[in-house]
Amino acid sequence: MNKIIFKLLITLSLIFASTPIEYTLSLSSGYDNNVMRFSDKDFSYAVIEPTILGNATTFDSYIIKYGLKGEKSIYKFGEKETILRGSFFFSDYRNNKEKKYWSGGGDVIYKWGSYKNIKYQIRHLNSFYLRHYINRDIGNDLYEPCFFNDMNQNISISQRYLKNSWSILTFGYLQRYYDKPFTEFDLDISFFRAKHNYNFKKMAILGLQYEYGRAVSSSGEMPLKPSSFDRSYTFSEMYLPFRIKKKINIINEFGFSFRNENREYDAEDFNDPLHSGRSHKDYKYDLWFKKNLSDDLNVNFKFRYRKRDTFSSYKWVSDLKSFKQIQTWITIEWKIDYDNY
Amino acid sequence: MIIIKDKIYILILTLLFFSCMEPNDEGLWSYDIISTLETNGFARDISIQNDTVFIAAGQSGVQIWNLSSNNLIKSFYGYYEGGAFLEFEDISIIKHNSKNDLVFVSELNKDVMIYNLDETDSLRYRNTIMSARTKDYVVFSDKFDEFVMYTADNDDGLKWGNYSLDTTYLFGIEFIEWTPFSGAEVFTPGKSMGIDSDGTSKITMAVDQMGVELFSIDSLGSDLNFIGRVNTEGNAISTAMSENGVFAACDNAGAVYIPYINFPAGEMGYRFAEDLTVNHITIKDNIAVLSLGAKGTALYDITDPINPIEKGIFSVGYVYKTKFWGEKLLVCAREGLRILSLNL
Repeated sequence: MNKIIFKLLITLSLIFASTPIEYTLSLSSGYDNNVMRFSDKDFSYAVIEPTILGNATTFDSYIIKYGLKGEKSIYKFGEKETILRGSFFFSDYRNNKEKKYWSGGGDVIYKWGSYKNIKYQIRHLNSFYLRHYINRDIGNDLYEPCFFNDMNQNISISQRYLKNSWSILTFGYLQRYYDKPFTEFDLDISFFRAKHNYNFKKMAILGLQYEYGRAVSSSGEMPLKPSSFDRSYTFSEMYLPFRIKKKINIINEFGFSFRNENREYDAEDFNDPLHSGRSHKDYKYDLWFKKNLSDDLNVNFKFRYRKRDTFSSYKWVSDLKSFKQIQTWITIEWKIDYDNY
Repeated sequence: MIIIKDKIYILILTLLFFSCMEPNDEGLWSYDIISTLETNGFARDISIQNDTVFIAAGQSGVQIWNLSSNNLIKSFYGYYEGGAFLEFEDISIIKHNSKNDLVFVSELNKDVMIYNLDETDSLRYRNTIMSARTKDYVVFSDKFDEFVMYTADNDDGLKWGNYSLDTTYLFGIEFIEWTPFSGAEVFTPGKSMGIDSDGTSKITMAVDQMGVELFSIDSLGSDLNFIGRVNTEGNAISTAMSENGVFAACDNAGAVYIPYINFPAGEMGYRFAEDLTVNHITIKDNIAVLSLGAKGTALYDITDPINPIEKGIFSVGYVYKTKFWGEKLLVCAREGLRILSLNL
């Protein structure tokens, strides 16, 4: 995948077209108060069993994130335009040895007017660390780091209906594959997303998004492997973003959003109490501000509060899988136009 | 323009065809459950004769099943003695001796009962041998009307005996018994828990806190020579012999492999599965199957027995013992007898 992204960025540079390449360099500094998404029960347990922290010595961490985005219009005729985009990010959780990962992807967009386009998008998340878990494939008490990789591909179509509103329909396929030794958690996730946006006098945009998906686990199918349990689930998500693009005092733009994911596991096997009859509600509240320092330099502040409530007939599962998390970010972005003509 | 379009098409095709991920392979083994024989009682032990399996089915007594058709041939909740029907309490050990059509059955912590399985598949009680607190035994038979049995007797040590058929007529009634014509009791400082033998030259016995003992014999039924004892971590409760050494289940201390050459000097063995509670071990070729009670079974690749490689813990029920039936694995579990096909 990293080869594909590399090729995409190279292709952006080499494609013949009399349009500039727009690059955006970004540098983010952040803080996460609960990197491993520990529940209150985990926090208490870590005091007597520090091995659940893996190699970390703290629950929280400072984060540095580097980013490079590129965009090039390779075909333009009237309102019709074809755009290529590529992105690459590297995140480094400074206080957590395992949590260092890259992500990136590419877009191919064909536009035929404002908010009228069709887009193919591919995103990759590489070796994202969750936390240390017991490797129950082979033992009872051996903690090992748990990483997963995401490959998300989707096609979306955007259509403007009225002067100030447009909708986006997206169909996607996400492969979530875990690194050894936790491959039994692999998932193939298909999803559908519908979003409607309304533009208030070009000053604010209100969005309403609904997503529905199905995650399929083949772990419970024959032949059975160690820790084989059906971890399939169905999920739905509601997302409400509101963005104001009006200069208020020193702020050029600000926004907030609410996101709520509901997930229900299929499992009913009493041998798998961790998933059996389990569901959760995951709430994310985001608030952000943007300040343009110059035409090509801006700074973003972002704050996120996340809360997951887990429901299970086993109280210990509810206690174990519920958590709260706070993240803050400050990001500086520098836009560069490169035009070799 | 044509050049640009070509590049776009190539790019899109590249993204579409090369962007799906392949899942990682952990190199673990897997299995298919072919069938489960519903024994009602706990399937505690089995003895296999071709396609027939004799099951010590706990409080369901003794059951005989056909493994190919998965059909119950016969079920015995008890037996007749002196005209009275005596119900089994909780059968825990069973061995079948095809040469003499015998079935050896033991209740938990009791002595060994001998039954004759006649052509009508009826179980006829003969007599009881050995003594109480028999934990495990192996039986061999070279000749008709004779067998030799080695038992791990929890309070007496290693007991063995050569038995022959003894038929007497009294008042016109035929009395058939198996009586010992030679044998002995070998003292052990530990508490005998499990026993295994290759039937030709070696016998190993798990002696609880004291470890594992190795004996040699010149031939079946000949006197035993004590070779040595190797201490183990935890409590040795069961043994399984391989070509060059013995594997022992050590309860909550996992398992251990002890090469035969370690016994004379009492050198320690090589531990594995240290964090598991292992009740029983079965060996076949490069496979070691560990029975873990409520955790199911664990498989190990023992190509190099000194460094066994974990191949997975399989949740297949509450497992007491396992045995191979050809390439298939039979799992004695509380849920019945499970027939598994392993994918290595």
